[in-house]
Amino acid sequence: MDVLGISAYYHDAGAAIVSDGKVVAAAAEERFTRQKHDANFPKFAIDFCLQTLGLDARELDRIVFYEEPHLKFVRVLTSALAPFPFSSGAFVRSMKSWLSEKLWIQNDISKRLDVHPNKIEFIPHHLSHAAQAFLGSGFSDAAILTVDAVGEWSCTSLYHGSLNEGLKFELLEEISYPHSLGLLYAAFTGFLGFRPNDGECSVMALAAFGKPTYAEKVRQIIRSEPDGSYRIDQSYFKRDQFGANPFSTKFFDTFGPPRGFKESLPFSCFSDHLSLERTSTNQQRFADIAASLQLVLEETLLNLISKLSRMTGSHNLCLAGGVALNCVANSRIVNESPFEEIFIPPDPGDGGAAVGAATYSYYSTRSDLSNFKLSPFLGKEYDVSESVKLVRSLDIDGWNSHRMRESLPHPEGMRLQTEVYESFPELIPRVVDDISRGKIVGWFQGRFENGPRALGNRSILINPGNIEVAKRLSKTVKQRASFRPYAFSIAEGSAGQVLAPRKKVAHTTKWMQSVEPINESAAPLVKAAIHIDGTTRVQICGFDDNPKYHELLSAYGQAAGLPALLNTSFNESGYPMIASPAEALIVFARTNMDTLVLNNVVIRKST
Amino acid sequence: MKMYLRRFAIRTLIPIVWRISKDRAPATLQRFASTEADSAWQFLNALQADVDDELRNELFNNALEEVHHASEFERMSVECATSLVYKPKPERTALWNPRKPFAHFLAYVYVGESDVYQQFSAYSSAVKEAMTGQKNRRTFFDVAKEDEDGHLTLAKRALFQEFGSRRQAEREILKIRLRRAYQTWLRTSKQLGEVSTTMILGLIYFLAGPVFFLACRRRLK
Repeated sequence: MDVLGISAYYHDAGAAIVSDGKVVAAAAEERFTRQKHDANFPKFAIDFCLQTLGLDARELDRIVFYEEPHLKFVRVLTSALAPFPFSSGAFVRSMKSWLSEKLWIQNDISKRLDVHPNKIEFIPHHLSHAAQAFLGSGFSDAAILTVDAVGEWSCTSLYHGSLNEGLKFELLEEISYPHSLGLLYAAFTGFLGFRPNDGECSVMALAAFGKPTYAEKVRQIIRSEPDGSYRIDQSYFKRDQFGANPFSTKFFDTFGPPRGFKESLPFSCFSDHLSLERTSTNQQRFADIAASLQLVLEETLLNLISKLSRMTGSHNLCLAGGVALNCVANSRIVNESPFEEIFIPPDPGDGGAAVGAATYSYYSTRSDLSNFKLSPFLGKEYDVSESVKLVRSLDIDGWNSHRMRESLPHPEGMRLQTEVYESFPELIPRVVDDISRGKIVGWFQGRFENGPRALGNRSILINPGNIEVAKRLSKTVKQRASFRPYAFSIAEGSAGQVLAPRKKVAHTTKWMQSVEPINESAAPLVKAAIHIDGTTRVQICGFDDNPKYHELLSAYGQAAGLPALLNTSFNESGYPMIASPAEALIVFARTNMDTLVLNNVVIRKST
Repeated sequence: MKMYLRRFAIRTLIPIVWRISKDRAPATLQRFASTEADSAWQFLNALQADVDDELRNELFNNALEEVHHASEFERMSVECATSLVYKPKPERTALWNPRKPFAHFLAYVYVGESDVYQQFSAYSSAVKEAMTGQKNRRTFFDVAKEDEDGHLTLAKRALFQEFGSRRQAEREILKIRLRRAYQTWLRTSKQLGEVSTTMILGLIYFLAGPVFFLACRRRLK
């Protein structure tokens, strides 16, 4: 039985296919279209899923969409009419897009894929998230918390999932629109000068530089209820503004004027040149607001989780929805919640909800999950032989004219040196040597990751102990703001050398979903990947998780003493992570990346 | 004729519109960034085709140029914007189709690039008027225009080679121009239709709004 899951039309469209109980392919549309957070119908992701199984869409048994468009339409209509008579523009705009396209999604899918409409099903948005987390966790019983911007009506849902008498999701409570933690965080993201639904990670990074001096004021907006739930005080927001400037005068009176998107933030996570004295009061205000928001979000999530624990009595917790991408909050949940085991799927956001939709549909009538395993490596695999041909014929003299502005020009007479290795173990020492000598290495192996984290198949790697290389990486490859920290990967078994002792090793460290404090004594070894608060987002990589990457980490450990590499996603700023070898070559050509590894091929710039 | 009309319109209107509305220039530059990013994507996608080394190399270099144009337009848009600019993310439609001859893709590239070349020529002059003292923008339009000219030459040469005859190539180009004209007509009709849709929806809003808005507010409490 083959089931296709689809998510689309809000942000991060994606597709996933489940065949005989296994998720065989899953990918976000952005990886194929090079448009970050692409929300369009995921036709390329669907093509990839179908090609993986060699199927035609008409052969699919079921197609499942990740939300119920008619319910969502009622919510959109309600929120467009509520501010009457000040919302005519918003009403017309939203109705035009809904009446012409989004409301007829069943016909749209049927037409695009040439399948009978009867094959198309819809499941509630938060149930898609819950299914993705619970079914992927391997737990037979768990409390499930899904928190995001908004589904149909629901913004936060509390479920109890169980496999004991067949697959069962019991909805215990839901908090409806407009009481949304995701929307609130996105609104603050805009207030702090970042792009909402994209710059939330910048807010989280900025928070580490501030003190939560505005926490009490944020608590006035996110009001905790005695039972552990919360309400968002709507008086801080304008009802008649959708997105552009959602804040009321009361909000500005409380938090001051917003940050202009071009205003600089002179914070740096590289501790060697931290100078907080240079920051103005205003810049510090933004960091303090970010810190306050982060703190209150964490408190609110912990309250919800305690409530969920009381309601379910379960020892296991599954988290999903866009808010589960907040790795700082996840760490507090791991350390402070009453749950023993915590699971977050590799892509807890909307892209991954396609996985949830497909798996829920497949398993709703079954309870035997022995066939089921959720891996992050569900993306497309590419043949690099064509790329080798391309590299050999490349004329690189013209590259300098098309370089990223911040990159240094390639020296005159630069050539490409290509080495093709028969076996993977032969390649490893060369790559280790390059990293040890301070080179920036693009690492491309096998299937790409499903989800926003680079886990060793589409990564840029450097020595985590070398701050100068990290600065060069930030400036000439990633164009990354200096206050945003890097993450690192470490081979399983050596994590204890670097990470501070913890009560428990959570699953969240497998896929870079939480931050961990670093041992003071080990800090110099990974100083380029530590945030200003002494924590890092870590990937503890076991052999079974990613054998090739584990082999590289181990070999690097033998050469350098610690099997750890600074690991950041393989992309340029403003683009999603790369998918294909050609995209890898584009980044290689435009930036100061020194070495590119495409499966078993190593390409170096040399003079 | 169409080209001269468009050029005249852009040269005359852009300086006025960009001076009146501060949001227009960054939005237009962002639109160009999006168009160039789409072109880059088309070239990268076409690299999957079975073509000779020289053509593959040229496709890659064109993709690289288009990525550079996209990032420069984006940078220019950010430079002159006063607030975050909306980034259009249109649905991608691949021009390269593995089931069709590669010449079909080249013909599309030729028509698309000649259109962009004309736009950049017109904007190059208009921007000079609109942004007195801001030399860089005009210079970049000129650079981009020259690059697009290079893509045009490549597409034309490769197209003639693939078809083997100039006449056949020109016939394919004509077919694509007609198809694009038809699509433009459909788009224009849709936009015209949207005017009446807007009026009807506006009317519905003012009829239904007074009846339902209190209930809606209660629901959102």
